[in-house]
Amino acid sequence: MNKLVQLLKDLCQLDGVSGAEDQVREYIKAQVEPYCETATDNRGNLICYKKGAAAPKNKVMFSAHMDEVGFIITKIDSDGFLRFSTVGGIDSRVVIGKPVRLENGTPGVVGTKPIHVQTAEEKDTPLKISEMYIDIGAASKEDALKYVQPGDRAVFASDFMEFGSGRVKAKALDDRAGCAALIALLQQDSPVDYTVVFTVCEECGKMGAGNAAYSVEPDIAVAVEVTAAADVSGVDELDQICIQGQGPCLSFMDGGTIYDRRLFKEGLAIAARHSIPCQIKTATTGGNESHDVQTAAAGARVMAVSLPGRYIHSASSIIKVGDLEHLVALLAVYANELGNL
Amino acid sequence: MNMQTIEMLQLLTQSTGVSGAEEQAVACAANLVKDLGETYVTPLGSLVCKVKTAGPEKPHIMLNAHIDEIGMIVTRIDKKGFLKVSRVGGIDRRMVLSSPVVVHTENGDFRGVVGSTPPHLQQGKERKNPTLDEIYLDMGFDNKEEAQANIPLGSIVSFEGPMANLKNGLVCGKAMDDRCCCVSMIQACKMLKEMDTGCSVTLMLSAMEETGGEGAQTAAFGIDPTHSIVMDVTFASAPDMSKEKYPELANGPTISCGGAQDSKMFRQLLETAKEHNIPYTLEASGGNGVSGTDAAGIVNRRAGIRTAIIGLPLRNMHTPVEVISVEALDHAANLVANFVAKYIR
Repeated sequence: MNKLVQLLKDLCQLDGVSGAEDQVREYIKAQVEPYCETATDNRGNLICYKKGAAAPKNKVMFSAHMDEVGFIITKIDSDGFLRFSTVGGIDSRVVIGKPVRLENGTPGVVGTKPIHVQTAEEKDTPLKISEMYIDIGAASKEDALKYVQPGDRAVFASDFMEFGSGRVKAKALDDRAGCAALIALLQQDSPVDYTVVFTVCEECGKMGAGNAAYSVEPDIAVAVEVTAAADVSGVDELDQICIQGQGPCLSFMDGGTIYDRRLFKEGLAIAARHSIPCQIKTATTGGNESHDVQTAAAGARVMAVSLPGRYIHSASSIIKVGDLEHLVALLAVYANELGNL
Repeated sequence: MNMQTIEMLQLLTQSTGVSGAEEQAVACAANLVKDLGETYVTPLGSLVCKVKTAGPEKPHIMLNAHIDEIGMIVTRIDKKGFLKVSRVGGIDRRMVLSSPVVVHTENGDFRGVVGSTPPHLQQGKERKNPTLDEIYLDMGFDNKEEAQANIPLGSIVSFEGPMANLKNGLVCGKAMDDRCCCVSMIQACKMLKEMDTGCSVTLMLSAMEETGGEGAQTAAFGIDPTHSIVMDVTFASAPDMSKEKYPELANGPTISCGGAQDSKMFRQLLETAKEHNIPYTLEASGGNGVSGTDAAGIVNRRAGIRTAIIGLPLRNMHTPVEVISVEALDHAANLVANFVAKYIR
């Protein structure tokens, strides 16, 4: 397993549901501390100041969010089953029948009434999250309370797998893949200064990135994230958003942000000049922390660089390792060139 | 006995044995019973082990659990290299999305993930659980040619479901239906091997239960026993499965009566449970009383086989996170062994 994939594997196996990103932050801090100065702000964002050979004209900030979608335990019923809500957007149809892990490591499963006794309507209609339960094997409410209490987080229990043609499957690739790319960037020498922020609470909407941007006051901010590619079976070419294997993609606009036009065009031109595969995200779906960053202070020019992902926000998200390698290469040239744009 | 049970469960549930392709699970089980007696595999793939042989005038009991598991089969490859599938046994459409799967081929196993149309393309349409036609397997191939070079049509697909220990001696994983009963029957045979008995004992772990029971039906014909006990999993209570209707996991096995099941064996099983302080739940079934298990194909073989059914309560049946109680499994083994030793003479 190459070093970048090992880094990604370590990151994905850490648990960091929005608001509980501590494990991820401590891991990243240990990885980057020899290479930059770090500070943790009140929200829990990790801010990394990279010192280069020279101070550039523009202050450039890269961001990736540390948090992942997951579950929060809301109640424990009298028989010891845990009721829960989702944290972040999870399609209720990817939850049933999946193993989960509580924040203290206790394993559990999301149970369901067996197919044999489901009515035709039950087979068709997706269950609501409020109808589901986590089974940890507790004998009663009192027994369950020995291992869990309301407010505890849980994640999908999903192993990291390398498979197919250079792809990996894991939970939390959104956005640990972005974190991995920025860690790899920080570990390289740089000709210019820049800042990287590893942020909290992107998935739950109260994005920490805005607070980090308030402190950093970037002129140019680049969000590094994973977006749903829709390059899968049965999707018409026109409905595809980007394609795995064709490199990272740049956004002109999405559900949250209108990106800086000059940065979008320059971003593509820089990639072309350095012969780094890069594509345009051909839809305005999705969103990320860029809007919060853009408006945090007097206004930052923003761009988003995304990895094409499949089944993000499930236990089995997929990216292509080659795309991640191209992303690291692209971020390195952006760090050098955006500062003096 | 407990540790041994868990080790056997680990080995057997993590073997592959989708209906019609039980070879790996059968080989695993054959290895577990190799010291118990002569083994052979029937033409349809069931494993038979002759545990004890008594004289021809003595009764002959066949102890059965099914070794196959539900899965899928690759039917075609689409133009982007994704695999389309059909079901083998009852697949729960509510849980398939984003499930990790393994496609088994002669060139080795390939891991992948179940996918379906991305959510943003379903807007405006009514949200439904996907049908088997609407899902596909993402094997991570770049194109159709790569997929075709690696995956022959007709390849068997199994769900991944690693075994994990939950609290209070419960375990979860794939294929607990019905490998937990296979383990229980193997444990019963181990006990019987050492006990004083007055009958022939044959262990039969059947193929193809999930697709119609052809394995058990034909194996029973070949073995030609006088009696049989079929052990299969049964629905346990859960938040959406009422306690009034379904047994609790922790209350031991179920002893079943109704329809074509032998009522004398039923009463003797109850006696055995009481004698040995084995907890149990009584389960009465309507209809022919044998439907839904391999008993349906066994009871009316040849001139008729006296058949009893024991159930092991299980939560989340036909998912990769089936939950059972190890203690209940051991109780069931104890029940079967003591019943056979005392009453089948």
